[in-house]
Amino acid sequence: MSGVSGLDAGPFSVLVDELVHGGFTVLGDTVDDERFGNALLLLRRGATRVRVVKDRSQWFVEIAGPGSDAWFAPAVWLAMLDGELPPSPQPLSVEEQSSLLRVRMAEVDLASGDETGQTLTGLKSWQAKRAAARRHEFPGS
Amino acid sequence: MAWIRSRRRKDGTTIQQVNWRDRVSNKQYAETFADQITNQKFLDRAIARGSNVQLATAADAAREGSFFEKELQYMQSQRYTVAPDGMSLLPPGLG
Repeated sequence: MSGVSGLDAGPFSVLVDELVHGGFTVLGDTVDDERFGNALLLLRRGATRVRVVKDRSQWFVEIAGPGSDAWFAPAVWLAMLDGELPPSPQPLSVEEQSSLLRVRMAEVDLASGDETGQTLTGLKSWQAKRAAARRHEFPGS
Repeated sequence: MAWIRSRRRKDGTTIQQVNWRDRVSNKQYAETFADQITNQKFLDRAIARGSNVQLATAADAAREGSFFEKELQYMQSQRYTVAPDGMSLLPPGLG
């Protein structure tokens, strides 16, 4: 599936179109046929970096931590921005993830420009809490 | 350390090959799977041996709903636990 931009981002193609129209630049667009057709689409606007990843036929969108190579799920960014974990440990839907990038991108932009390291530390902390919550919720599922 | 390759067979179908090197013997092993979705056969062998499982990605960074996360959950169902550094899975009794 590809949107009007011609970029294949699976279920996130519409979101990618919107990001491109919103000023994001595509930095990379690769497909690796040797590894399950895994794909990576990297976008950037200012300090904010977004990537769409196809991993073993599944699609994910992630936002980079400020000044780092660490990437975080929208659910983790949401927790960091709100100061609390999403109420459900279930994965956010494509629409919920896309919504975060549409509605709260100004906050993400602001946080992505943080050079103090506090945002990155916060993201890592919320990532660990979210992972623990999911491990607790789905033990051995 | 383990790595996965996708190989196309003469009949046009694709198989997945998991390669790993035993840290003690330094021997390299390979296992093929017709299914790209799960490495359960590989994991079951690690469980049967009571092996530690080294992770290429930190457990906390597993993508939500991903096959990697499902594999972690499967290992957890077999009473494996995540090591304090998040980079390996410890067999029952060592966690």
